[in-house]
Amino acid sequence: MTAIALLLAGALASWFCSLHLPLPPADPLRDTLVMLPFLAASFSALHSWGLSLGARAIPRRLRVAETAALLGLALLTLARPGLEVLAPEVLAGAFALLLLHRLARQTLALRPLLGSTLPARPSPIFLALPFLAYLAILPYSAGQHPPDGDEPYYLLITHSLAYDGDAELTNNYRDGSWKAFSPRALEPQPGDPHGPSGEIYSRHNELLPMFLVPFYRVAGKTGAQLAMALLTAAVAWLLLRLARRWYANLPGEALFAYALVAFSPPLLLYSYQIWVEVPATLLGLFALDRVLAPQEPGSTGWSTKRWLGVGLPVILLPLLKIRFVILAAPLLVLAWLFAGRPRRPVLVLTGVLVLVAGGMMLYNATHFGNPLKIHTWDEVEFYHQNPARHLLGFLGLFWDAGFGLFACAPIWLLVLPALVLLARERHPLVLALAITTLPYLILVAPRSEWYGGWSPPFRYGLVLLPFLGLSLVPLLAARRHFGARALLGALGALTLVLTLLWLVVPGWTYNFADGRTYLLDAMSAHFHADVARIFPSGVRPRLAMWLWPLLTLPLVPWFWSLGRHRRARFARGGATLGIAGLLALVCALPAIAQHFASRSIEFEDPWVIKSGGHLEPERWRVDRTLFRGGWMLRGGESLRVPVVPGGTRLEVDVDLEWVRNQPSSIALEARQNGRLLATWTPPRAGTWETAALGPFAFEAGHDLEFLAVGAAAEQPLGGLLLDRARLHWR
Amino acid sequence: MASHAAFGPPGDGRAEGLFLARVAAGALGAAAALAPEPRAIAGAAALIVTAAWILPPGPARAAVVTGLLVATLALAAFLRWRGIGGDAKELGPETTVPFFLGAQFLLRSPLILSPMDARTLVALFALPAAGAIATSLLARRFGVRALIAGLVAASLEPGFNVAVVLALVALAAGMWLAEASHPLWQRGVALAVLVAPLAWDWRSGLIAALCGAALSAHETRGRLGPSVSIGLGVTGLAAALAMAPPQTFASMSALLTLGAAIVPSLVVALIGLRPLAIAAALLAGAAAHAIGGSVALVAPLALASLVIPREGSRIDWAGVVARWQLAWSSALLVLTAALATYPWLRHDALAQAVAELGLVHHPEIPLLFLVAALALSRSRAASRIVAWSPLLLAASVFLIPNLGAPRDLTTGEGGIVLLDAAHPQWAAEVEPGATAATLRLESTLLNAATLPAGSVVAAIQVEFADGSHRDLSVRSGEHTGEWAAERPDLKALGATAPPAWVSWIASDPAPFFGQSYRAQWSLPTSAPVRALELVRDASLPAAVDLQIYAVELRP
Repeated sequence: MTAIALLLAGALASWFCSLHLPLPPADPLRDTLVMLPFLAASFSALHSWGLSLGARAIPRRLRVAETAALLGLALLTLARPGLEVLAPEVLAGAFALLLLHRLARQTLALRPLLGSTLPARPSPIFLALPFLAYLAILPYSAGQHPPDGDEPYYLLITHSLAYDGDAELTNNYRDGSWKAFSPRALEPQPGDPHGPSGEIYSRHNELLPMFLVPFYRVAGKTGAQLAMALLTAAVAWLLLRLARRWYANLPGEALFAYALVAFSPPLLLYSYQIWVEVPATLLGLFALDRVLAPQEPGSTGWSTKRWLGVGLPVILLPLLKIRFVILAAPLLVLAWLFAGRPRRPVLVLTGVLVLVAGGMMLYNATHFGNPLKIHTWDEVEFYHQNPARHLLGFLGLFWDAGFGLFACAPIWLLVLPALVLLARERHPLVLALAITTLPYLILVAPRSEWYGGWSPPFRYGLVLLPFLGLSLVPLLAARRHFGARALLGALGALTLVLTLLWLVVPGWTYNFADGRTYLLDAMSAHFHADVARIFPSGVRPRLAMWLWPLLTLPLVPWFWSLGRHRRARFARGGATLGIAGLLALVCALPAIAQHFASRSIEFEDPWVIKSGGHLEPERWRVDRTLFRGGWMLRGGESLRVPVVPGGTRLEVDVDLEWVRNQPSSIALEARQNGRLLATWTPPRAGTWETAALGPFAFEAGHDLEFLAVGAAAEQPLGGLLLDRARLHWR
Repeated sequence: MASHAAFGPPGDGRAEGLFLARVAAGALGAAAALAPEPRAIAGAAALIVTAAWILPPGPARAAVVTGLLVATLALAAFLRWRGIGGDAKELGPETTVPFFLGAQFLLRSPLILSPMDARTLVALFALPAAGAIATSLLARRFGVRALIAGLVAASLEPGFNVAVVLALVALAAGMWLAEASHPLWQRGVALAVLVAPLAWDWRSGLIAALCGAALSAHETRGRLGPSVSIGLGVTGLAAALAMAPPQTFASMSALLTLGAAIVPSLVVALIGLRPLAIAAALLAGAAAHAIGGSVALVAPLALASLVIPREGSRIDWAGVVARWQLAWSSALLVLTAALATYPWLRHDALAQAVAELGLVHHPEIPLLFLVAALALSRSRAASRIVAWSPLLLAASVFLIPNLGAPRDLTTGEGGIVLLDAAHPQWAAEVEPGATAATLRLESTLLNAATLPAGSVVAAIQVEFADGSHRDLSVRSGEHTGEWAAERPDLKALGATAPPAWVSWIASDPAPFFGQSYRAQWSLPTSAPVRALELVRDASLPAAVDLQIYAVELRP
């Protein structure tokens, strides 16, 4: 009763704020402030609910401190326009920090609800908590970053289904239905399928939009986002339920894994976004939970519950996205292995899966002229791909600085010692993980868009996340020794600050597939040094791409095991030392970037100082990764590169193309401190050439300059398109 | 942070980064020494480093970094307080020294920009350490009240200067002197220390010595002790009235500020007819009459802090008052530190803190809560309300009409408008129907170091919808000033400037504080504002420019 009263009071206060808050509608924090009373009341109600279920109370002092901080932040937000120096991002970060603190405390407080053995059905409070968290970040994050990537297309299908009753989008593009949810004009995606009479359809399947329709009808885009948040919260809840199948006696550790999956990137970033990966993850978890459920006493075959629990996901996964067939099929293998080796159910479900997939392909072939809708058979024939490409895509999914799991939330590096432990124990999870993930990874890794396209990090890997979360449970059972504490401290602190950053600037989670990230670009520009080369990139392969996996694969498990047999006293300062070590590494970053000799130059990078020119092709070019990106240098323009010398003599190979739009000549000059080092004239236009400059003497302390010598280009633009340079030191 | 600054591009950003790194080193080092479990401080350090690395250099970054540093030190102090179980008798130098050192780094951060000579080192390290030791000595006898005295002393100036430290030391010496069990030589030394403040500044020193003596007399076992302490108070006030002309506080807000710091609790003590409270009140009156300014009041207010009713005394609400005062004094110190440190650098930080809380406009708010709390304090529920009162107080700030978005009229490049000899005029239309009660101007002058104070630098004409208009003058030294007034060479020229609104670090070539200024005028709200025009004064030397950061109309 008290909880309901609280919620009503909160809702009323939020409604009052929406009418009377003295902030303009365009203020980025206005919606957050409007929602604040309702959210505060909801968290308070959740706390009371937890207490009534037997949870621990969050210490009163902490609640008072949190409330005081919340009020203080609300005040600052209101006073911000007058203070002028406080950026909204800073306040958003402070709100997010407070939210994460509350989530951590509340999760800990809920620990008694799991008892000494994980319950068969965790309390719904474990669903409500992440849902509230996602609700809290929604107003600011969604306001800062409107639907992007595939999201607006899913919303457009939803809109069409909701208001036209069909998935045909011709009229929706024509009448601008996208205005209901996107500030940007929406055009059909290149390659979208067309019907027999030229009708425009989407490349995306209709299952997710069909689910979203009722929510969209009620509350538009926000309704759809709330529905997605509910699905994401269900993923977290199901993880806790699934943990019981293997780790029933480790409830505390399962709770840790639950919190990690639910409240850290990447799932947190996807929580309110509209991607098929979240429902696919949910369906996968649901099926696995049913597969692993013990046989009901007295029954010999599969119960109806199990038939539905396994069968429905297997059918729905391909309907979500044809790619998920490769996830559905292994689930049947798991059903064979872990659910009593039932012949009939597996055969029936395999038949159904074949029918569904075949039916979809038949429909696509008859309606769109391509059984794979917009994909080609080449993409499916992974065995034709170079093994190095497989490896690069696989490593990139985890280590890539822009799209990888470990870069977006480094705490997931704990998966490495966790997998070592599981392998050593020959735990069945290893088998489940291998069967589920390997076929999927083998299909996804060699794709040209292995990184997920225009999306937040680890998109294609999201379906694997609960498995990775589960793998942490046994590892966390021994987490009080020095190495564990140090790693948890360092990786936890780094994940915390990155999470805050991703929440505050959600646009920074959408990286261009050019081997750079917003964060590394900012550092490179600040230090005038190639900081990005220290970090791995699968899009722009470099030494770091191979070094990081080679180093972290043995070092992280080794570090985790440090001090396992020492006394507890030795471990006490582990977390602090871990954070101190992390800060020391961060501190060393610019020194490292400015110390090791430059071996290559990507001319479009921000550490290269430009006097003019432009990026080519421009950033928003469709399928930009298929082009050799570079910097167009017109006559009279130059680039200055603060290279780190690796010797006294230098030879430079520059990959470039002469783009000749008018009759004129052009040459590339290399200079240093005004001294001409080398000149090169392109023999022909329109083809990529390698200009070999040098060898010449290089003076340390001066930048290397590249100049385009020729007539200053007017319209149409042309000049030397510089892609990259390789530096050979002697 | 130093690595980020040192490896980054040279200029103002680097100078500011290195400055912030030094402030952070002091404050975080102190916080780490203070917190029983440094893990939380390490986490906070990671956040602070992130802010310093991610945000662009300038006041915005500095406000975030120093704000986080203040919060971290407060958190460390809170964790330590909880670690010692809230038992103030455990407040040894190992607790007070790091806390006061960290507070000094924040409260007097401009010292860090000074050359690191012996004077600076003494100011940064020795003074807060001495104040901390004096507070620890007082805590042995007075427990939590000594901590309140220390917090009040640190808030007033703000930070620890010689006068503030001598006031605390005099009180500690007075207490030491009163203890008969101490050897005679120690009591002799205590007596010498008690009168030592006279050697620094005889007027404020005398007040400090009298406070110490009153405390000593009160604590001496004997019937006459309390009477002697009141007698000392009476003597001090009589001497002040007889010998010195009355000094007035600069403003009512200054008086309210001091009142907000301690007076509510002092009133409670006075109601209980505590002799030491009466002596403190008399000596505060003497200081206010004869000296003026907050520094003279450090000793009487610290003395007053020591007489806050204790928990467990006859009056059962006494402990509640002590807790309330501790929370209130802590909150004030936190707010004062946030305002005293870079980039705000408020010389009157405590007054500003009180003003920002709305207490100047609503002085009844704390009294209201105190009275409500005291009236209800016999029940357990009431004590909870009292514990929440600082929070409720914060909530009451929503009453302040200053919050919300102003209408900023500047639309120049980067929001900055430059009025120079070639472009002396700037005008803006205001959207129809917009009434405004206040006009705010944030600006600086360039090349105006030799401009006499009071010179008119620009005229503002506000046009109202009913056809009337209001003319205002922008004067140098009052509404705006030279941006580099703090640069040593211009300071030597006598460049005058009003208190800065925001400061930033400029390196030209040695780092100094650049400043922008904010002026405010009231407008009649009877008619909506239609347009606004700013015209640079034609008589200004050609080189003098007026740089405008914001022209705001506030409802």
